[in-house]
Amino acid sequence: MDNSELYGAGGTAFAVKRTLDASALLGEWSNTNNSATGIARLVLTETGDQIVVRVFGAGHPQPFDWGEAPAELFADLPGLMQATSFTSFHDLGFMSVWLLTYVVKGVLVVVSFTRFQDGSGRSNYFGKEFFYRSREAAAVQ
Amino acid sequence: MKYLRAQDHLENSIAAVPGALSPSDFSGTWFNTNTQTPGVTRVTCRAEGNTLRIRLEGNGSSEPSDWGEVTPDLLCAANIQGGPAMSFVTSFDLGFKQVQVGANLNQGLLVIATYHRLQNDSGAGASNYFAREFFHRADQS
Repeated sequence: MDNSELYGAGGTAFAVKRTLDASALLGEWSNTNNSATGIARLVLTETGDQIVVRVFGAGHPQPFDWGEAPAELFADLPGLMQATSFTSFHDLGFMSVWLLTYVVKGVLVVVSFTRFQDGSGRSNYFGKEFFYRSREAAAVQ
Repeated sequence: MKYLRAQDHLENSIAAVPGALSPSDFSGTWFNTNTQTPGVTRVTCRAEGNTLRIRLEGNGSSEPSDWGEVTPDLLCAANIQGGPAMSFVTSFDLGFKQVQVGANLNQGLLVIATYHRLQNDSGAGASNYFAREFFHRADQS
């Protein structure tokens, strides 16, 4: 199905939004590079009717816990029920990070857009990292 | 200097100069590499100093022909030391949906990920969806 089956001429929507199945995303995702210096892992969980993502930044001896942020889910096509990507926004005070993600062949690709708000002179920068599903939802809860 | 990822911990001597991001590498007209796309067909970028203006166009059927022109929420360099902008995050409000856009330059291509958030959530039908498309410069067609 392409988008034209769901939208009329000029892009006017006549379909209505449906709730997505998050099961393919829930759980823990670990960086494929075990020497990564960016994001070490992410954990997606279902809290009530909301999906939240908890990010752990690479650090030593322990990763840095960014805390949780709401994750918004997306399917590959407008008619599909299975969520295969999510976005989230993390306001961490001294910096804020947009995460735009998608799954390809079992790999979660995480694109990050970082802005520093602390006057440190660090540039806004782009990152792209790859994650495998290290634990499914049931194992995380 | 506060940080929540190992790669964000920099010595002050190598930190970037704030405000040094130039968006000029985006300037010009970009066409979708897939001429049959049901999504975005053309992207036009205008750099005015350090400000970037972006216009997206669809085929007028499955997507609106003109999404309007926006300024990115964030321009990013390839790394924390700064340099030319090579990615951005922005969003379009098309009325019946809001679209978050993440884009980056890679190997001469403009890679654009779009996250479509439908505004009508009153029942079953379409779902929020994701698309990733590739654009080449107009003068290379």
